[in-house]
Amino acid sequence: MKKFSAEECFIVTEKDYVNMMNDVNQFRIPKENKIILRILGIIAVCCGTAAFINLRESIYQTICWIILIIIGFYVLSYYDVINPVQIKKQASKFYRYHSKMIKNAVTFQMNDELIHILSETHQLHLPKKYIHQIAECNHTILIFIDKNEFSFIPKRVVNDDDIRHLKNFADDKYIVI
Amino acid sequence: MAVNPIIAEFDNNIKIKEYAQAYQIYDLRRGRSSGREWKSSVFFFLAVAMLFMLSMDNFNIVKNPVTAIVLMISMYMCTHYVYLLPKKAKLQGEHIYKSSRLLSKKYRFIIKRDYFEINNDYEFLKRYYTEIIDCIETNDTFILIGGMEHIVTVISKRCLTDEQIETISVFFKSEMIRVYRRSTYGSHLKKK
Repeated sequence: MKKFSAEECFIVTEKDYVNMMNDVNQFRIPKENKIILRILGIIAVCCGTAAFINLRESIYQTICWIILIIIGFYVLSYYDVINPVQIKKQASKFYRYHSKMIKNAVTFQMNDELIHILSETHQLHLPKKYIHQIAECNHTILIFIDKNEFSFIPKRVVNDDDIRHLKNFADDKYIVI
Repeated sequence: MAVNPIIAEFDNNIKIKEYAQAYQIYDLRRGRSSGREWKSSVFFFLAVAMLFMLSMDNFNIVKNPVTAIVLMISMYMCTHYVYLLPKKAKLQGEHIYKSSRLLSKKYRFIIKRDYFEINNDYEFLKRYYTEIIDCIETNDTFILIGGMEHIVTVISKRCLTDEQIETISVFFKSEMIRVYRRSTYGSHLKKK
């Protein structure tokens, strides 16, 4: 029997699932989007505040400036506060309703040639050329088969050796977020 | 007696156009672009309201800059949801297909009474029909949406005989009553 350089078996808990969703979300949002939204938010808040102090000729105008300030704060805090909370809520709800689909035990095995991700209903045997990207995030390791589809391993189940093997295996396809 | 009889068994191989079409349908129905009808309606009515407000002041944009800006944003968002989003979804489908080496591979597809299986050297998937949230038959494909992995599964009608198409269509219709839809989307039915 072939020896594996890494072998772990795990169950995806609610915490794993929520963390994974947050990590995927962080991975998929381009950094430019975050910067642009922050700049727009700051501009809206500054302009709204300046106009609120200096240009208050009617109630209609005052309401407009208050709305502008609120929109500015919303945009400014969207990716840092609002979006993670939304994702967490959605992921928890999804996990509760679809736990039967998620709770399958998953086995992750790896040798020099292949990565195996095995569960009762889905089995992957991937050589390096079939992997699109491997992303190491805060709480999870995401193994992308294409731009959209991925499997994941919670970081709590892998040790430093496994991560090193994975890094060596994926080489230039390995990125750290 | 077979416990779980086989309904159809064939080799399936999907092309970029078929996958892009399937992904577009998935994205617009269940993906990030879902709910575009009501979103575009909201922006349409907002644009109409802003237009009405501007007309009350003889379309004086200098006097009502905020109204004019909201009108422009609403019109853009309306166009975005109605026209740009479907195009973007299709393009995204093409990108996904190009980025994947597995999607273009030939699969052995086995449709059984309670689930279907897809199988090749690199992947095995068993999906129960209870996990399917949408089963859409177009002129060119059967699109099965659902599950945690391989969310969009496409069966190309090119790879099937006429009898198999008929059998699968009738089977899906009877097995997944609530989720089955017949769509006229797609170019034309290609026969073997």
